[in-house]
Amino acid sequence: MDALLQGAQLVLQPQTLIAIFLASIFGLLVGAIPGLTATMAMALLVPVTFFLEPITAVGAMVACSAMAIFAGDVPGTLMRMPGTPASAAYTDEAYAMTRNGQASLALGANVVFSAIGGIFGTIVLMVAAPALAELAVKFSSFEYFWLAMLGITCAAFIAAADPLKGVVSLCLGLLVATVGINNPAGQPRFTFGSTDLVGGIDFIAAMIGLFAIAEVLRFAGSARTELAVPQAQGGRIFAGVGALAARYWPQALRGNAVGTVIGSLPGAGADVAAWIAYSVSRRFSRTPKKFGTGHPEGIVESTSANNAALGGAWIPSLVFGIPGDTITAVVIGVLYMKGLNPGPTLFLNHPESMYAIFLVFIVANLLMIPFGWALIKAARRILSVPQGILMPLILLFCTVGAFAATNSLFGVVTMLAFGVLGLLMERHGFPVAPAVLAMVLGPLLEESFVNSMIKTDGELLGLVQRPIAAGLAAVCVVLWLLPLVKSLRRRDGAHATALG
Amino acid sequence: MTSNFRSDRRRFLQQAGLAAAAPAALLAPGLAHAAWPERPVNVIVPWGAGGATDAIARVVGIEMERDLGKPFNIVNRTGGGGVVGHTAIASAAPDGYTIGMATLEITLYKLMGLAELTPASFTPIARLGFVPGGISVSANSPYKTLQELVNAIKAAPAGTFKASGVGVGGSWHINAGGWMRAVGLEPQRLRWVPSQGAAPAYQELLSGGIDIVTASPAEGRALIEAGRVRPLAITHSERVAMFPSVPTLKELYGSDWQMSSWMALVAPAGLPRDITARLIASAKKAQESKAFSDFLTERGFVKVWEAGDDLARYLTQFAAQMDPVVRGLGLVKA
Repeated sequence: MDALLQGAQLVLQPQTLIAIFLASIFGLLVGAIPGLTATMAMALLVPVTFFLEPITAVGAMVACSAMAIFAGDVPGTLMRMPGTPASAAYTDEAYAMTRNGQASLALGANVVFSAIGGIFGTIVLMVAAPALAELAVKFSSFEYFWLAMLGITCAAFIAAADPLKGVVSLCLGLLVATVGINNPAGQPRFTFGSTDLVGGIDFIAAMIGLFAIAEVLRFAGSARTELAVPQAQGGRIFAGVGALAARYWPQALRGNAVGTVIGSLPGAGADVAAWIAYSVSRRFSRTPKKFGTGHPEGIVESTSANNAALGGAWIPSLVFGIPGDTITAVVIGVLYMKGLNPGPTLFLNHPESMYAIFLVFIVANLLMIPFGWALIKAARRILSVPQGILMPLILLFCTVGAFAATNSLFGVVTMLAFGVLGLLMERHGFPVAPAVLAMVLGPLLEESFVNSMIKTDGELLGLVQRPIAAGLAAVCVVLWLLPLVKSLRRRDGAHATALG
Repeated sequence: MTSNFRSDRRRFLQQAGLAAAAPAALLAPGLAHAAWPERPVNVIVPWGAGGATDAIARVVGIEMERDLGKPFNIVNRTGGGGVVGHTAIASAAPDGYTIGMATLEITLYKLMGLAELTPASFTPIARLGFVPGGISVSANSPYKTLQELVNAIKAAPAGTFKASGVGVGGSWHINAGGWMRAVGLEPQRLRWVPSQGAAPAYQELLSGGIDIVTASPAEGRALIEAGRVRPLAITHSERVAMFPSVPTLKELYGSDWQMSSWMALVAPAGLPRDITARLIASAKKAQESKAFSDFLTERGFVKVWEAGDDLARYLTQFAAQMDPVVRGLGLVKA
């Protein structure tokens, strides 16, 4: 109890509160600008943390990342451009709601369920940190292989109308992911003698291209001058959210749980959590047909998941010093510099710091509701700007983002190339999402498979000889067989009707 | 190919720039670089933000900024096992406005056939710090000492024991090969499981996927202090302050093999002497600052100082040491 009070004192210092306030605004702006990721916001914050007290620095980083992950939803909903990759999973869905005139409802759901997800993740972090980290830390390459396989499998479900085109898109993403030297053998692949390609194709730049540049190009290529301007509705952002909560609370809860668990797995963060939560939601929905048409169910689940993942990611980071995602990788660097070395001893030596970090999480997620409301209001104003002015501005921000992602013009070139690719894919009915997911999971899939094979001397059975790996494998196999079973059953049904 | 084309083009632009600046140069002969730095200096870090190389560059950058009065911007150019960032440093204009924090990989790229980069591609400024490697096992491993572990490796067929710490051809992979040679075994005796870095390797160790980690114990400090990982030896000539009870490989086997991950401030080849001298002087001040010392102690780094020609000699000597091990590990491209 003493430690809790001391923690509260640390958080309630004026300088800490001011830092949280400013970092929140910074996080909202960076998150709302398509192409600038939450990780980038954190990296930009690192030099500032040099001048702050330890808890103040951590508070600023927590607030900044939570706000950035939520803020990514706003341009995703209003303009079909996810502000951060964590919003990409349900961008199409949220934009469809905007087209149906339900932008307010979509944004209201985003802000409220993001905040709830964030608080849920925090509570799990506080209660179950040591236990959950124990589980996650037992994951070896075998478990990771099946986890990546699960993600790849889910990508096939995200692939909307035509599964075949979805798989083509998936394979394209996997191919892109093979470029460069960051493969298990450390050999350059598909580099054509270019130093830039040795580093691989930057995922962030490619994603900005596929999502944002394709949109700008589509606008430029369309004859209409006013395109997809979201309906400027009244201020009732939170109207209808209560009804959503009443109707979809099981989905929100499941999204929170999925997000926290995935967040706590080292390496998998908010973006993977959102993808998996979205496809889980679709998989188990009573109305899967409505997905993709502006249906809030999947949004509720995945927007809950990505913010819950933030709290989850801190679990292995704090307990073992193993980053849960790219954001906490930056945080761990700062923690070391501030003498708050992550590890089990942190809980023994600095319990007050632990409580302070937890409290900052709660404060940041509560602040998200008023701040999110303000951002949505401001975003509306930005969107009343004519598209002819907005699009070049977006292009500018995207260019800055792609440059910042790689610190080189090659990132901008990548972005533009993928913009053209995204445009072509959409024109011909190939979904973009599976390609993006494959780019994230491809390296993980390859690395975990090769490492597993090295460990087992090429014995494939080794992939299912550990209990958790076998469990994950079983889930994958069930997911693979479901469509087959369904189509067989359908055929049987048709057969029976024909006979009858 | 592209990089050659690039640097050619850059050189052309530079010469065009020089031609334009010629009248000004005539007015102030001999004072060409006296005013350096007149604008912000970019410090390229070939590794990601938040990592050890990034962190050391930021600490030094702040100190040098204070000393020289112009901003030192840290620019992370990641990817390709450092090839991208190191190439960016080497191909920049040698005008003192682009420098970089290089790591030991610069001595290996050419040998492994990964890039046309050698220490000669850079103007050496100063080596600032290093973190010694080690040999660690999981706390529930049956091996309590290095001798027990080595005897078990000797008794078992090659490839039985799996080790990790970094990707194929990285510093800690070479550390594993050098250690095997030091105890009279073939470098490829351990099966190398590539990882994205020390943290994932330590996690693999905990999860039972591998037997040995040859990364620095400092990178697994939290796990060692929590009693989950047991460091058996340090691959450095002396014991380290962070783990004073862990013996060195030299104490145990009398071997001179040592492997540390080091960071050195470098500039593109052909940096004017006066700018080199000012960078060295400023780096020296940064290195002597309290902030830098605190940072090194916290991270388990060891302070070191080799500047200019001393650093060039060190790089040559280091590359010569690595050569047989890299060949023994089969990493040299024919």
